Formats: sequence, structure tokens, C-alpha cells
Amino acid sequence: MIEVKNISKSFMTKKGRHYLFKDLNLTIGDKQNVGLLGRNGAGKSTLLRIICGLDEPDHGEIITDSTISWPVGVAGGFQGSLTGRQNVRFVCRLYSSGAYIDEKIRFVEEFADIGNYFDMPVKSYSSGMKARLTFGLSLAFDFDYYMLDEAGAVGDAAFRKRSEEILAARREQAGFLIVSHNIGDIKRNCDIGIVLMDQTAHVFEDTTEAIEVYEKHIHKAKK
Amino acid sequence: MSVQLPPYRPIKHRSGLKVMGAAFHALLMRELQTRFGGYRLGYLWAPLEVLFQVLIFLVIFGVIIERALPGMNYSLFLVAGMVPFRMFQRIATRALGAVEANKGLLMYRSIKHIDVIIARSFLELIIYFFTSILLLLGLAFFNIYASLENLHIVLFCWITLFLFSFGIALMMMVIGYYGGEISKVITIIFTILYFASGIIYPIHVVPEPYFSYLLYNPFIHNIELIRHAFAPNYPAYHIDITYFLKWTVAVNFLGLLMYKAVEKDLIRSK
Repeated sequence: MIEVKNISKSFMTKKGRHYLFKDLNLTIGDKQNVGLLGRNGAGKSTLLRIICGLDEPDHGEIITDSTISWPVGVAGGFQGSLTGRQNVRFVCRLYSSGAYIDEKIRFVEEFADIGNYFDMPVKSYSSGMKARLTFGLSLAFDFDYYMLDEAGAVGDAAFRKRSEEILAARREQAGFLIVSHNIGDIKRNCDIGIVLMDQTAHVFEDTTEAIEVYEKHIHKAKK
Repeated sequence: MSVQLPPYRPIKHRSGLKVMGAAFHALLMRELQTRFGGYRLGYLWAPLEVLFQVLIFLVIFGVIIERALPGMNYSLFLVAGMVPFRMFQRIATRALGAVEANKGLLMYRSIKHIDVIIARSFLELIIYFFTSILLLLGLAFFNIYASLENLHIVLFCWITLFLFSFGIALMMMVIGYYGGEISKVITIIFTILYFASGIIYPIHVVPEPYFSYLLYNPFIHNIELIRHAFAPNYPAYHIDITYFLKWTVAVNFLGLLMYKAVEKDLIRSK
């Protein structure tokens, strides 16, 4: 379970303090699939990063004893002069141990399917190859929760199909928090919808209802 | 072709120390691989750089200082002092930009800023220690021998200097992040420190009262002790290693305090 308690986050702008959310409260149950909706700049990614422990709120706290992934598919932390295998091994050393490391690496290699490039420096990769590697790496470890920030729409048809399969397998063991502008994606995969607006979070037990509210909200904003 | 997930092995809850140990190991291996692959000469750069400096000062001051230097060969004097000081300088200056440089790495939650500082500093310790050995072997080739009777003192000095550098590095990391232009001033201070630590000249040539002023510099005590250990005839009356140790404790205390105070703020987006 992840408990988000009284979280506020603001940024300093030239016109004064801009609040993304004030005293936001949320609870995400085990193995729940949560879709996070909101306009651009509503703070979806920031909330995700706060839950991941990569950003600090102004005040409030995240209470959890579950393991939470880093934002899936976000490329970062790769050392360009090292090979894909070396970079993957580095992350494996952080999250896995001993004999299990090799099976993780094998999985990432098969999943990313970038052939000989796996043993070449990451800086020689195309952006697509890098995305495949990061995506595979994020899914290799057995977290209790995965945080998906606009991830999944990379690669060719075969890769996308493979991603869907692995994600489906993961959904049986773990919870997901998904940020996506793809409404269909959220409708298909999520049990709960959360709309970030008016500096707070509105939780809907039914995703279709969440999507309705969200769409009304963006159309209202247009006017 | 469908890909099978590896067997389900949920990530265990580990103690803080275990997580830190894993992070240290992973970072150290990564740094090792990066340095090996980066340049064709890889690790040889550290010895070469020091060797070059030693040669320059030998050419410029060699003849003059040889006469003023009590009980020690000048090239041995240079090697004994310059290598540890270089290590310190390298650890401290690299920490200045550490927060910005490590942003990508911090994406993995089990890595904290302090882990990166520990791993990098430790690697510098190893590199410069081997540099020292290499250069001493080189000197032995030219029949300039360091005394090996007091190796334990040399080791002790190296390790305490490493701890000292680590404390400074923590402070530098915080200062570098918040200080802005201060980091430029600090680089200048390091250069001044280089000349005020008796790296290239024996401090005995400095007259009183300036000689006593110089002794406020903690480095002098550590580096002079290393020289005394390598060449027992080199005078040691002015060395007070406990003074250096007090500095080490103070610097580490302050460094950890500063780090702990801003630890959360370092990752906060503004």
C-alpha cells in the first residue's frame, strides 16, 4: 500500500509561488492499477516522481513499505561510454544479487532485442534502441509498484506486442500507476482513475467516470 | 517470439547498510569500467600527470632546493608530498559539481549523493596510492630509495588524509550546489593551499614567524610525516599529527552535518 499524506508542492515563478497541489491525499492499494489524468503541467509527473522518492514535496509524506520502481522508461543514469550490458549490470547490482543478476541481464537482452548493440557503448544507440533498453531494464525487477510515465509507445509492432505481454504478466503481481494522455490505454488497463485538477486529486472508483470528468475539465479550460 | 520474465523474486527489504553496500559496489565497478574505457591510457594518466609535475619542479628548483633540503632527496620529497595532495585536490574539486553531474544516477533510489562521493573518493584513493607506489619504484630505479621501515606510518597518513578529503568533499558538494560563483573562488583557494602546504619546497626555508603560521595548515603535518617516514633523517620536530587528526574529525563532523541538513533539499525541484 502506498499512502500519500498531505502533500503540497509548489514552484517559485517570477509571478510568485505556483502551487501544483495543496494537501493532497491518496491511498493506492496493493496490486491496484491507477490511471493518473490531468492537463499538461497539472503535476502528474511531479507526483509520480515524489512517490518514486526522486523529488521532495514542500511538506507531507509518502508512507509505504512496498518497493516502488523508478519512472519506467525514463532514460537516465546510463553511462554513455559503457556498453548496454555494463549499464544493465550496474542496475542489477543495485537491485538484485549474486546468481540472479545473470537471469535479469538475459531477460533485458532478449526483451530489448537490439542484437550486437547490447555489447556496444550506449552513446552509439539510436533513441529507439535506448528506449527499448530502458523499458526492458525497468521491467526486469520484481517491484510491488511500477510507475509508468507516458511509457510503452516505443519501438516497432513486435516490440510493442512484447511490451504488452510483459506488462500484462506484471499486472498479476504488482500495482501500477500510469500517467498517459492516451485515454484508451487508461480505460483498458486501470481500475481506478485519479484526476489532478484544482490543486488537488479527485479519485474515481470507475475509470470511465474519471475520464468524463477529465474531458469536461479540459474543454472547460479551453474556453 | 515471446520473451519470458525471469522467475518471480520480489525485491527484499534490506537493511540500510546493505543497500548502501550494494550501491557502493555497483558505483565502484561502474567508475572502474568508465575510466578504463574512456582513454587509451586509462589509469596511467594519474601517474603521468604527477610525474610531469615532478619533472617540471625538478628542472626549475632541483639544484637550489637540493642544498636547502635537510636529509632527503628532492625528487623523493616531491613524490612523497605531491601524490597525496593531488588525491585530496581531486576528491575535493570533483565534489563541487557532484549534485548536478549525478542527477541521472540518482534516478535509482538506492543511490544517495553520499554513496557517489564515497565511491569516487575511494577510487581516487586507490588510483593515487598506486601512483605513489609506481613513482617510488621509478625512483628506486634511479637509486633513490625510500625507507620502508615506517610503512605503517605512511599508510596511516594516507588513510587519515583520505578521511579528511572525504569530509571536505561532502562540504564541497553542498557548497558547490548552493554557492554558485563560490566554487570558482574555491578552486583558487586550492591553488593557494598547494603553495602553502610545502608541496614543492621544504617549509624549513621559511623564516619565523611565518614558519609558525604555516603550521596552522593541517596538510603540512600529514605530508611532513609521510616524508619523515620515507626518510628518517628528515626533521620531524615541527610535526603534530594529532593536530591533523583533530581537523579530520572536525571536517567530517561538519561535512556530514551539512550533508544531512540539506540531503532532502538536494533532490527537491524548485
